[in-house]
Amino acid sequence: MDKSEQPTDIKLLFSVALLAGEILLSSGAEIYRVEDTIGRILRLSGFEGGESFVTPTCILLTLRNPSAETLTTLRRISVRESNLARVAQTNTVARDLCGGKISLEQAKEDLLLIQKSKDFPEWTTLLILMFFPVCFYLFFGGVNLRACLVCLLTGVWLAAAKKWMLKRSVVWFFRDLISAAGVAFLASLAAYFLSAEASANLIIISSIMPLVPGVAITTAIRDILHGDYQSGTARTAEAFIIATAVAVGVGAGLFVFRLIP
Amino acid sequence: MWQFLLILLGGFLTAAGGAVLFQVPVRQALLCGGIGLLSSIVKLLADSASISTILSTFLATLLVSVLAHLAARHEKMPVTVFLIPCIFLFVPGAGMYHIVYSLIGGSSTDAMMYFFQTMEAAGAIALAIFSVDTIFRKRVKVHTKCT
Repeated sequence: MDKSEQPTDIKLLFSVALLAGEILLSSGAEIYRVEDTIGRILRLSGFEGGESFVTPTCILLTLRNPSAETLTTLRRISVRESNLARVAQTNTVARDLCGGKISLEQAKEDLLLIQKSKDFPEWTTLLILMFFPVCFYLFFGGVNLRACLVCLLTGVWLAAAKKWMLKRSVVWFFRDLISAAGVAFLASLAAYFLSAEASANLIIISSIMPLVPGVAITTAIRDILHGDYQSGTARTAEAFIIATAVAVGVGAGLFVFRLIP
Repeated sequence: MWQFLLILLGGFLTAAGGAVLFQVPVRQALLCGGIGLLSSIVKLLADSASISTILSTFLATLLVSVLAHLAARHEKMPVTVFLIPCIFLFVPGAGMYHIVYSLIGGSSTDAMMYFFQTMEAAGAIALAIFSVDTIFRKRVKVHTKCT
């Protein structure tokens, strides 16, 4: 590497590290993976002082350059969703970069592509969400055909509610609450009319499974295991709040149903 | 027998469908489905051997974690890709529902009981992920000496 070229290279390296971290964190990766990836990319500079500090909502990274000023950036992450394909792709790019298979410019291009990459089309996810309660119902050992129909109905509600509320950008706490309330009410009502009350409990349980905080619990556990107590506890709190939203929703739905004589 | 097969089918479909909801590519989503299927076999066997729900959840999630780590090795992808969709099957959603149901029914003793059951199930999942992660972490450090 030419001495005069170094400053631009370092800046590029720094921005690649930041971009990789940003994609990982906003796609729902664990904290240690974000810090590890950033650390590995920063180490490519050959300097000792590459550090990063990551919480679920922001990335702070700094690189001490002995011959020039220290670079430090803070990036706030506001949108967080689970997009595991992006986590995997970013991981591959970072590994190729560290292994010397691709250049920095190439890595930056790849990362920008990943950031813009298309997800599965919306209708696919909505369709899956529609059949999700039925799948869970079978998994929990349900065999009643009429109950399966009710599950399909609650699935349609889940998908419709998700689409509608995403368009209206309802706060996520109320998104879960309203979905769960609708599920509990619809399931009780439909089970009553189809005389499948015996399986009403199982139907509601199957239908709230897509809403329960599985991701938050799993990531919280893994964060705590790797010593990231701050984000671990933050995500545990998130799990509890989602659980509360779902529980309150179910409670509201059941309560309204009981008001009907 | 029929019910047995339906449960396995449900396990496969939920894990694979959940994977697609989290935007996992199709090939890996099918792998997730396979992990879901195998772990539902374990859950079924454990339940039919009439051991406690906590222990059967622990065993099933233990298998999920091991298989997820192996799949991640094989596909050269982060473990999260396989772990999140498959752990989803065993998250104690039923426990949460029962807590609320008993509270609405006015029975706080039942609610307390379900609360502790739910926390125990969550603890069992945590313990399973913890132990498998620790075993595999030791091996990772030997293998990857990237720069």
